[in-house]
Amino acid sequence: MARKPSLRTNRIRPSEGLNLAPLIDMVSVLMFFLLAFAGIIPVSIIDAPLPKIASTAEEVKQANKKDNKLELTVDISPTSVVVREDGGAAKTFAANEKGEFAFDEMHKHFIALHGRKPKSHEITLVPQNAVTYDTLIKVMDSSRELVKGDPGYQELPPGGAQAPESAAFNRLFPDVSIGGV
Amino acid sequence: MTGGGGESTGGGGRAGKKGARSRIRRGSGDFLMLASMLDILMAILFFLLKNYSATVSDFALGKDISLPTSSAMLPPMSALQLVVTQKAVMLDDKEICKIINGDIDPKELYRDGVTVVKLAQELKLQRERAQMYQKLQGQTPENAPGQPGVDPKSFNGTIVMQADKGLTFNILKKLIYTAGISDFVMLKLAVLKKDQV
Repeated sequence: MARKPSLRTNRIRPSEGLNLAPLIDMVSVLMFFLLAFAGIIPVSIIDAPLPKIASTAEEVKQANKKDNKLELTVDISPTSVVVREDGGAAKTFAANEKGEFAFDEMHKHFIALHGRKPKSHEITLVPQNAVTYDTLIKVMDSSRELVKGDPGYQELPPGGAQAPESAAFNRLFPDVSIGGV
Repeated sequence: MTGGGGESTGGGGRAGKKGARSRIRRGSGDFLMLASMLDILMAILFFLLKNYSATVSDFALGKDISLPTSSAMLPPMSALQLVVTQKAVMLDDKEICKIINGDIDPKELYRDGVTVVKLAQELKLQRERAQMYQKLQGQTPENAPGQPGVDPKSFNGTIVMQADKGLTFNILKKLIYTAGISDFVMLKLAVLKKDQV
């Protein structure tokens, strides 16, 4: 006849280690929320200050000071982009049948212009009424800075593009003014 | 056979008894080794928290809007948000005017045909509010907005425009002009980072 199992031998003993399951639960939930809602906003900003009327004598002096700089104006229409330097020489980039521009070619032209007068960083964009905002931003992109593979491109310092000192690297014409307003 | 649970003790009853006893001594059952998993999760959590604090600002992306993509890398900033969708113009979530047939309703414009009256009024209000706040705070040009440690609510003429990429310059120029004459000359254009789209 079988004996009744010993209560002493068969008792349930508490586990010796920490119970990590709730902690794991908590961390997993936190991670989920961070991933879902922190949702690193992939937004950045382009500086496009509006032209200001020079009011003081010093401001007028600064405005007149050319300092070997290039006056670059870009006339944008839905069918063409005309890059004018100092109101004289101009290069036209026509849109293709789909209305798309050769922004790579435009970028190369901006590099060549900047190579001639490296102190110049200002550019004025004059879009026509029918030009889309997307086209305007793409023209700004092609004229703003050197990209990897361009002659004279410098690697960014530690901290990447977010580091404040990065603003001084690879500049072409980042100081944009929007004309025709 | 006494060998219950996962492990089979195979052979005779003696071995089975030994296995059962050792399991009893160890505790109630076979636990997963969670400590290493917890380590990994904690490392990821700290990384995410650090990233979160570095990148998240109170920048609110407008609804029903498709921003253009750009290679610009400047981080977003908290400022007055002018949101322009295909249907309406909003200033910090407050609707200013509607866009009908791809243009701002002519009734909303001043006699010059470019100034958006309601927007100019609202911007004036915002400017006065900010200047009043600045006055109450006793700010001087030395501690002007934009300087580190200076209250961002102070007026510095900054406005961030979030505009739909399909909008034409015909609409945008009216808004930019109105912002300009209302002393909001530090125009910033919100775009989506190209590499994250």
